Amino acid sequence: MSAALPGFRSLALTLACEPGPLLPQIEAELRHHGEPLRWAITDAVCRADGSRELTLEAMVHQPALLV
Amino acid sequence: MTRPGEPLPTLMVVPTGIGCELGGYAGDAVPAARLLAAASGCLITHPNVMNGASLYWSDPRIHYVEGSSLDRFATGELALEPVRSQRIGLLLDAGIEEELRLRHLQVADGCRASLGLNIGPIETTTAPIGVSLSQGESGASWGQLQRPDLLLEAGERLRDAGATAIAVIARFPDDPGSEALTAYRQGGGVDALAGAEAVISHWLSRQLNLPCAHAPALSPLEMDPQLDPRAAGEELGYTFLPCVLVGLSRAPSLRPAAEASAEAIRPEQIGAVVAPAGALGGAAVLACAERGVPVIAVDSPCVLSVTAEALGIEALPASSYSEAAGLVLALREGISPAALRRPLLRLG
Repeated sequence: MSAALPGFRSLALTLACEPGPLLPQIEAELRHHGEPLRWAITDAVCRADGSRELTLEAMVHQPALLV
Repeated sequence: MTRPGEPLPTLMVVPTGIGCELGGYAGDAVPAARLLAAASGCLITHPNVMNGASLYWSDPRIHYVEGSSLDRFATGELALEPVRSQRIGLLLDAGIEEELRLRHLQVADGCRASLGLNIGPIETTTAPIGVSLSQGESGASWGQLQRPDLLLEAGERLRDAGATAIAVIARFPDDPGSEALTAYRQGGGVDALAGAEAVISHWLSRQLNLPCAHAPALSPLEMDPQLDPRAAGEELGYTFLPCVLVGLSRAPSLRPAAEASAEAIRPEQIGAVVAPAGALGGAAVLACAERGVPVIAVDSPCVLSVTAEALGIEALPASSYSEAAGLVLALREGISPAALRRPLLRLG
């Protein structure tokens, strides 16, 4: 394993959100993968209990990718 | 204190690379932006709205703010400080061929000579940055860079040499025979370049805290007699650079909100946000909605269907940007938008 150049990684993920503000939940999830560079909700489904399932597409920055 | 009739800082967001019927092409949202600027007296919007390649519009009521900086403004991190002019550094990708590079430098010279813009220094990356294009499952356009580190290094050299804003020109892959390009030129599909352009400008602007915008360097295309008027702005010249230089020339400087001067436009002053009704799932709209700033959702079809209802946020529907401008004007004048609709239900 060796250190690679800093790089960008594209993501497609699904996020089950609790009722309440969505933005902090989205940003917290994306930060698990890197520094969010660009993202968008590309689909949203509301469940009966008030929670939401979001589909996200994103690009994150990973400062020190290991390969 | 804010009085009726005073400017109402308004965000206009048309997300890039999702094929918006209005705003998904070459600066074809500029007329809507001009109208919203007149209605609000202060419009903050981003390059995807204002950039028409060789076509542009300059209005002191319109503030040109790169997309990720606009998000950071909306979320309360940044304030925007109006300036008389910016000193625009040119950042050229080493992957651009010599003749195409010269075309871009001549555009910059033309903007210096004919428009009086302050352009320079110039830096070139030490190797090609390697732009590639892709498309998400949703149909939105995305892109990738092989060497973001080289882009950032060149940007840092420009900043250290005195640039206060950065125009990036990166070599994009030519694909003249692609179905996507043909569809785009004829008024369908998404702008395949837009996602990668956004990644480039977001990266630099976030890292350097400077206004940034991007123009792709591409070989000229053969004439298309079926060219859609919305795409025509990109076929008038050899580059996409003039709009970027004009936009950046008076782009507001970016300041941490806590350190902004009294003249700055501050996030808490935002009075409305206008966006396509099916593309409300971005940081700027969510941040505004979650703070109670009115969201005006405009009917402008695109590849997404992320509506206010799907997100559980409140929005004022508008069937067109003309109607949206009317709603902004109502908010500016302190008129309840509900009073303009029928039926008007009884209280209680």
